[in-house]
Amino acid sequence: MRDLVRTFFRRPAGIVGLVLLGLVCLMAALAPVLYPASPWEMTGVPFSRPGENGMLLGADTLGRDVASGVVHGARVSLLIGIASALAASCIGVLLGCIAGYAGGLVDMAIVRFTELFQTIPTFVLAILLVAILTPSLATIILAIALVSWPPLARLTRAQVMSIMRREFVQAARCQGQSTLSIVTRHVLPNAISPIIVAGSLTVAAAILIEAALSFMGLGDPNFMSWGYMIGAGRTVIRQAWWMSVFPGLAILLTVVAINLVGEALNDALNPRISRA
Amino acid sequence: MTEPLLTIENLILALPQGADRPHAVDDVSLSVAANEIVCLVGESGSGKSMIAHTILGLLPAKVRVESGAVRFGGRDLLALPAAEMRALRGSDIAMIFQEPQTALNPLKRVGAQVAEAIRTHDPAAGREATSLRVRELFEQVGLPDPRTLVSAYPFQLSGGQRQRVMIAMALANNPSLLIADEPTTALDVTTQRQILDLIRSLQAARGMGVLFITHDIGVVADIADRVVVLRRGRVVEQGPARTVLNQPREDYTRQLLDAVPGRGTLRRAKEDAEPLLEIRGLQKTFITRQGFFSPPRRVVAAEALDLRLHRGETLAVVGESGSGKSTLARMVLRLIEADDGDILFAGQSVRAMGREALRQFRRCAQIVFQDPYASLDPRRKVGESISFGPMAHGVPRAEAERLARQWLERVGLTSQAADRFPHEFSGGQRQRICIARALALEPSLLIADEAVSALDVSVQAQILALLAELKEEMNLSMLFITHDLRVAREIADTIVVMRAGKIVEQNGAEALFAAPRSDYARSLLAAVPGKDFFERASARPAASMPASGAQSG
Amino acid sequence: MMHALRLLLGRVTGIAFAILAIATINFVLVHSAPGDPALVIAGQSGATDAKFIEQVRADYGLDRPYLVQLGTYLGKVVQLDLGYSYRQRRAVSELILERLGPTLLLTLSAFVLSLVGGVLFGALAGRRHGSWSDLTISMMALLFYATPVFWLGLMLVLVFSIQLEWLPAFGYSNMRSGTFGTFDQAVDVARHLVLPAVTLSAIYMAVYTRLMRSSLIEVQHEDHVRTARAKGLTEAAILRHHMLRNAAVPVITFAGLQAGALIGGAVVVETVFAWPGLGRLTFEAVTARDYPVLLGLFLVTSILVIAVNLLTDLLHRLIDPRVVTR
Repeated sequence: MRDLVRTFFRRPAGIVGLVLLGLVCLMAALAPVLYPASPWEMTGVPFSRPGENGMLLGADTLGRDVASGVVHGARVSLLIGIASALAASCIGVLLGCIAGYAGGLVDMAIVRFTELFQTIPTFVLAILLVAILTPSLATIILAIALVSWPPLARLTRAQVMSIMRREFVQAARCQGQSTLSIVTRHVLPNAISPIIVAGSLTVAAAILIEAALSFMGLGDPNFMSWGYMIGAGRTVIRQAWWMSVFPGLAILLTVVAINLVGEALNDALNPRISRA
Repeated sequence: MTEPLLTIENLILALPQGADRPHAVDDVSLSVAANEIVCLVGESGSGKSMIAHTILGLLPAKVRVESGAVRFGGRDLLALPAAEMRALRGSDIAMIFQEPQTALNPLKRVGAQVAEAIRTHDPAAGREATSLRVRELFEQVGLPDPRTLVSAYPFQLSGGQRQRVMIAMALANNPSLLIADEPTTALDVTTQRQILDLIRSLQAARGMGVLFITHDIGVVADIADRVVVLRRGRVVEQGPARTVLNQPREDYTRQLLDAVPGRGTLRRAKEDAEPLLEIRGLQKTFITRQGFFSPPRRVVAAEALDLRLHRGETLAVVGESGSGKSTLARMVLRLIEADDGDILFAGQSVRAMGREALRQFRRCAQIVFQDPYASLDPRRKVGESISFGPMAHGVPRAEAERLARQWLERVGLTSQAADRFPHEFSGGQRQRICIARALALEPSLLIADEAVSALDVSVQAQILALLAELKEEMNLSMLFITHDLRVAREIADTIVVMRAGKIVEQNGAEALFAAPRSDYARSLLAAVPGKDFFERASARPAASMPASGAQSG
Repeated sequence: MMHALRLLLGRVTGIAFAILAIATINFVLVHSAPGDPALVIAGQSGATDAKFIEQVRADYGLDRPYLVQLGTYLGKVVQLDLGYSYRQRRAVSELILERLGPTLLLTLSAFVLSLVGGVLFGALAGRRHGSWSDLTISMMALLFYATPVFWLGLMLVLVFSIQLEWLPAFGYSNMRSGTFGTFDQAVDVARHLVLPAVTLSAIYMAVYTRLMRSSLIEVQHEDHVRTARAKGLTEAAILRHHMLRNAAVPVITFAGLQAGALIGGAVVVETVFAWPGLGRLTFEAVTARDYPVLLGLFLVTSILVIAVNLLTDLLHRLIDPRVVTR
């Protein structure tokens, strides 16, 4: 564990990522403190430029505070990102494990199923799901989870199959260890690292999908999200560029942070022989 | 006395920080003359491969030349500017490598790759002339049907054929010096013999100097004019092959010679004991589907196999890659399910066993695998890996851990080893741990699936001796899978020869070696490296067998 | 020859199955939505008119057992009848066909651009591993990879259309057909294509750059590169003949897998740039809750993905002779 932490912090990218992510989480956590009023309230002068009228990042067409929207939007994005990534991981890892361990027809069925899902354009399916089930936090999380699980299933299956083939698993079988104990003692600890990394990167992907959904008008109407703000600012981009720029920067920074953390995690969990 | 072709003077190569020693190669001097084969022999970590790579400037970036010179054609290669070095590579000095599988570009046709070697040093060569030359070279190296083969891709050729292509590529520009870095190590023993003969005949025909790297003393005995023995980066002994092999001056050289297995007296089969393991008509075909409409690929791994292993006997199953010997081992333990046939252990049918009976059977029959690096869970302490076995059969944890420590000591490690992780041990030590793990369950049958093939020859000798000791002590019966007839000769009472899933010959060791009945067995025997030398050597009183060894192996 | 034919047959069968499976998913979706499927199909246009709902019910045979309905639906799909948009009062297949061209233009140009750019930049970065150019390219790739594609589009519009006025912001063409020659028309379309294509390709170019870079770094250490060096080739020759193609193979495989994501991205980009393609149609259908159109789009875009997969598979086979069977 100690080695892990040390390797993680060896690269500056990991530190930068962690700091940025920490800031975003802090922002989300402190939202009700920083901006106690709902971001939907029209508290200011419409079309205020950044810095004018006490609005740090300006106001939108109806006088809503952009900064308040950005801060509150962080909660939505993080919540949806983490929840859907977790759900996708559960589905993907379970299916991947079953496929990898069972083999034969079960494996083939699961592989074909996964391939089918990967043939479908993910975003179109997400749109369809959310539209049909009417947009809400729950349906969005469900939709994103349902389109994000295939890569995790593929990865888990590949990992499980490769580890099962390794001789130490065969030796464990010969020792008489039960299937459950082989999986928990030997297979999972060796397989888990790339899955953790992939899971963390799925959070980033989920945040991007949620933003796109909100941009298209399929976000939960009760919550202000970054994507919605950009969508609202689209038609008035000439007059009020700040409505689109700042929420977008927020998305960008969050996703970059998650990616940096994910890559540093990858280095820490899978030390490879250093080259050159 | 003519000027030698290549002279290496006092070469010192430095390793980066954190390596197990500061120098990969420490003050090595050797020379290669025209028209001779110099063998550079050593175990893993001796630095022999590094020396070969230094000559052509192919060292990895982490390894530096600290001092020394490499003289060729009156110039110091280490001080040569890049463009001149490039002009030398592939023309005056050529090199062939160990793994034919990966040494060729998988995306280019083999003819094109050889043509590339020609055109690099002769850009003006016409297309017609180059193709002709490529075909000529393919003929010289004994490749069948050169006209069609030039358009083949590497994956379509066998290991031996790929290595011939590599040789053709190396000889394309008529080098005066050929460096061969373990070119036969990854090949089957019969293919190895062919390639060795090819290199020898090409060398004689062209009068080349050859620097041949190998770890196998048998190969040295077969082809070397002069020998250089390396150990941990230092030259231990060098001189004419005849002298070094027959009257070695240094202890290490003697140790290497003694460690070659299979020179003791042959054993005979034990006929009287009852059979512990009986295999009847075992059948296995691997079928891989190839999409909806193409017929599936069928590979016959076992066909009508009949085998009997008596109590207290060691039976060696010998075969080349693809013979099905490993599949056989796995089928006995039902790690792979056979398609048809019977496996009887102490009279009971293994294939008919239910889950619990199978678990009990597996307690009595254990296996040690080939790859010491993949055989242990890298995330578990070594003691745990051993104690999980008895624990799975009801032994309480504390007792199982005590057993584990006991066994570690029995195989030559300390009991503190139980608290360390696999990556802290060497290959030979890991194999000892695997043996401890297998024997902790006190089986009556031990299956060794190429258990010593991945080890250095001196370590191999120690492990074989350890196995012999333990076998005596515990009255084990052993099923020993190997591709090396010398190992089989060392330990087996009975030998079974397999080829393409079938048993070709089965006989007591003494009978088989004295009078092989099948052509295939005969060709295997003829292909054993160093066979002539060791036969002559064993006519003299044999040296004492090495002890089973402790920490070093 | 027989072997290739067998392979082709196998692929075609696989594709047919996939399409049928997707159509089945369509069917399941409609019937799993909360409420009456007739309402789902009629969309928001006919929700209040009871007689209209009855008609929809009859049209789609919604009173029959599920399997019969599925059969009817699949039968319709095979005949290229994707239903009727009550909202727009036109056949869905007609609507889709109209918008297919611009989407193909956008998607294919973005695909080619992202792949070519990714391989180039990735090779540049991988070749000079550890240098400043490598660091710069890697950082830029990370930034673009993390950028929401619709936001990037808006930012490019802000800079290039509004501030600099170099390129048009929205739409497909400013000219009415007939008044200008085809070449002028083509140039006009090309000018409109630049921003949307660059936006869509930027994200994937970033992905392929990173992949190509790490692939090239791996290839540098492979044995056949050492063999090439031992033959006396110059470093440039080694890069060209022994590294680039080998490193590009996994990138091309991955690009095929990304086809679905690319088409999804096209949906968003077309919305931002008012590009008159399937994506824009999707946006309109979503806003209007026009389910028949959405379902038809779902099917057609999936077929597009399969087509792109086939293309990349072909490309993969061209480059890598080892790929014989699946």
